[in-house]
Amino acid sequence: MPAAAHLLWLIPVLPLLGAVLNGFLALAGSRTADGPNRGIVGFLAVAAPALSFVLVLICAFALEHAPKDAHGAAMLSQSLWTWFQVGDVPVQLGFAFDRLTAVMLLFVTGIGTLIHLYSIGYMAQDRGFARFMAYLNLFMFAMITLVLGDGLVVTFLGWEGVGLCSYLLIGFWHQNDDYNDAARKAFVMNRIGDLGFLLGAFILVWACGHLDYVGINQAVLGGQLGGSTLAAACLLLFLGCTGKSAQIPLLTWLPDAMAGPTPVSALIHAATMVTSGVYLVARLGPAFGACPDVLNVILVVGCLTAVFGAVAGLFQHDIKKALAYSTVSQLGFMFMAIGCGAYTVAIFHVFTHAFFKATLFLGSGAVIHGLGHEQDMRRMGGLAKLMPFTWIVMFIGWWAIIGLPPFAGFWSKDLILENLFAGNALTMTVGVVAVFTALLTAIYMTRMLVLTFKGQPRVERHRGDLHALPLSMGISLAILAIGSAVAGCLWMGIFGEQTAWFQHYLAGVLGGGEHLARVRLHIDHEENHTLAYVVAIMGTLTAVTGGLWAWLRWTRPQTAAVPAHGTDTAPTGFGGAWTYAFDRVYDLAIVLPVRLISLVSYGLASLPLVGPAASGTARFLADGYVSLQRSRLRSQLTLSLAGVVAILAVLFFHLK
Amino acid sequence: MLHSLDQILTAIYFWGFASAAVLCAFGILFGRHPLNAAICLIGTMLSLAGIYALLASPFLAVLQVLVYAGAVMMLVLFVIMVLNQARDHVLPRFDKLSLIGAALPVLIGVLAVATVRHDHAALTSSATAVRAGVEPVATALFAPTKGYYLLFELVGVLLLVAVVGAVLLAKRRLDADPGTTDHPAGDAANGSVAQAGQNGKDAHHGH
Amino acid sequence: MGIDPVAIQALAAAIFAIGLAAALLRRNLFIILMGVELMLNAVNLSLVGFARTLPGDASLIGSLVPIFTIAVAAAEACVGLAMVICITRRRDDADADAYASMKE
Repeated sequence: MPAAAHLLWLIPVLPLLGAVLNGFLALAGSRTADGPNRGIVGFLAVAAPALSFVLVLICAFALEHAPKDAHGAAMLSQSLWTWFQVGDVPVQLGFAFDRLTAVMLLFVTGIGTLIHLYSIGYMAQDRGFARFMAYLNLFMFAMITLVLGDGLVVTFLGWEGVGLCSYLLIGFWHQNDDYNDAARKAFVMNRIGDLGFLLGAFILVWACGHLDYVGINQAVLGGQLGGSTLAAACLLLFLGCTGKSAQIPLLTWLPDAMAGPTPVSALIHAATMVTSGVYLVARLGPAFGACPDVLNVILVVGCLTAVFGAVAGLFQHDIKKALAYSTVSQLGFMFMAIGCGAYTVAIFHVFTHAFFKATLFLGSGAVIHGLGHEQDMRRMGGLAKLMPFTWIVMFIGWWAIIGLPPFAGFWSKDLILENLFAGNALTMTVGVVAVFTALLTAIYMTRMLVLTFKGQPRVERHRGDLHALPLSMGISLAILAIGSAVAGCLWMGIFGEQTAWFQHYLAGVLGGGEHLARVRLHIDHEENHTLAYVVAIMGTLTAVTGGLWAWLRWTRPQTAAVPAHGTDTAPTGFGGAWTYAFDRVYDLAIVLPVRLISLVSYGLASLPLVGPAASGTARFLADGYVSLQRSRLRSQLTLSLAGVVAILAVLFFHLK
Repeated sequence: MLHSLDQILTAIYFWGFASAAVLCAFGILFGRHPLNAAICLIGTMLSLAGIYALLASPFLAVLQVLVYAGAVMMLVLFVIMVLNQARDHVLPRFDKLSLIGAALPVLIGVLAVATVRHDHAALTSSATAVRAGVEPVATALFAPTKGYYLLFELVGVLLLVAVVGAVLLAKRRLDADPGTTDHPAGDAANGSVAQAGQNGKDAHHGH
Repeated sequence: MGIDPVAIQALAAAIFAIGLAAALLRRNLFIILMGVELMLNAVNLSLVGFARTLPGDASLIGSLVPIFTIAVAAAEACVGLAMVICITRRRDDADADAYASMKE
């Protein structure tokens, strides 16, 4: 085991240290006029994840020299101590670092560091700067724990941690009650998913006695675990993923989560946390692969979510909401890839999506920052001339997300489509819908870009009116834009002889699960160059068509009246009905019955006989209990001592 | 049976100290005034110190006299006298509740003695027991590898915390209502439980 | 040689029971506090008594534990007396039964 394995614990602990220090600074400076020194806080906040990033790099290089197992997969692992023991199942507080972890952690810490840097500029004017940085660092700690955990228990620790940080950061501006509601909504919906996660973990430990990923996957591959038990466990775990990754039915929290500051939306609600569901499924690849029915469910859920998000994205007026629905839709694409057994492709899309979605979010943040917290696209337009740098960055992000070659999104989306069309009848059907969704993606993203940057300015602004872009934001944006442009190259052959370096890199970790999934789904996976070219051309044509149409449609002068600043941005008409469809369903299915029951109970309680009887019973029971309580100290002491004497007497005569 | 003079003297001392300890303990239980009870407690503690000495634990005996009988009991006496609890001996010593609860201590004592007697075969004086003088105790307490350093330090911290806590609890608040101490105590002395309880409530609601 | 261990334990049990009775049956806060001290003393005696039945260096443990018990008892007496001072300052008497507001 290389020496780097002993460094694993430092990767999550560094951001935790940053969070604790910044938390102290935030508390210590809370009485002063403008909080603690922003230089110190900012430096700590950026240095912690940056150091973690360096450590991840070191570990990733050390991994290449670590001994390999039969599948060609190497792993660094560190077990700190036995956390607790249930029956004969010991739960270790342990970390495992393989190539999948390396890929995830590299972009989590890398993009995380950039977003911390960006936040220094974005949040500079905010009173709660240190508190914000402490929360962000705490999020990094939780997210790294989630990815680095060697089993479901440690991952669950991180899973809950990111949920908590998400809650804290959505409600960061807690003076606004709407934001607090959004935070609570995210928290409650994630609790539902977490229950699924927990139940799934319970079933797994009950069925095979393992909670670590290696143990579970080996039990599946060895045949000790399977059938409906495994299917139930996987379905419940997927319920957890729908909560965290905003899939149907637990998706409505993500658009509301845009109440948080923009760096939060970029880091948590686009690049990292929401993709942890995809990571979990890939991590348990063999387990999910052994349940074709669950994979089909994931496929269909992903497909429906992608369509829903794409259509909802068409109607948004709020620039961040449009991006949020785009995230929902892209997550749907990732789950479609999972559903047809292409785990590597799903992780690749997670990887590229992290770059271009972070770019787009941070770019929109630059717009919002520049316009003085204006998020309504109806009040934008023609900003390309006023903020050329942001325009170029957003243009690169847009190019990447709609899937035009050669930028990142083209490669990953193309691969998903290719895998869908190479599969069975169901995946092909889904593939057709996915192409339609890709068309919608091109349309709504172009609409967003054009409404913001092109056409006639709908509100007259001059260069002097805008807030200048701070250097820290500019640097992060530039690096992320370059990443969005080139991240797709990892699937090209420039890093080695293989045509798909990324797939080759992860083959040892994900290959077994992918193979099992494809066998169970009856998919013959062969290199099919014709199909690859057909899909690539089709995807590009779709993107070009959608993009061109939308570009022409929305560069035309808009006739609608420009609303005042602060107008409600919620879409109306069909758009509103579609956007809030799931909220309406929840209202009807849960809120309404609860209200009805409350109303009926209230009505019953005010009836002449029932009400007094009920309250009388309650009072009788309560008073009866209270009369058992003794108020005097000596009476309490005497009674408890009588109990002690009784126990002692029983013990004495029993042991005799 | 022939006993050496040593054994006879030990027995005499032990039973003397034991009866003194029990008598003084009863003095606490039945004493009218807290001051008398405190003097009795000192008597018990000194008797126990003597028994420790008989049990070959001279260090503990000295500690008992210095810390317990000396320091702690001085504190108790001091507080009783400063607060001048002249009224206390008017408070009835026992009431109905005392009669009900009286069986419990007796039962516990009987159970303890019965347990020890039941296993008395296992309880024999060890011939190799070490005399716990200052040096063996100190060696055991601060043994190089398996000493009790951390515990020792923690007890120090505990004492410090207790002192700070006591000062905070007992100090009169500078901005306190000067009338606080002059609050009419009511006629708690009449011994009525309900009445006393009522006064308690009043006192709490009153502040 | 020495004293019968059973007699020592019986003495400890007697003192413990009397201390318990004082803490349980009396109404005066000072007496209650002293009853607690008495119980702690009885436990110390019991520890020393048991220690004399152990062989070799193990018998020293019986003298070590009471050292810590005495220190903790001193801390307890310190805080306990402070609380009694607080209470008597409020009501000018030391009746335990006067404090019955836990139920409300």
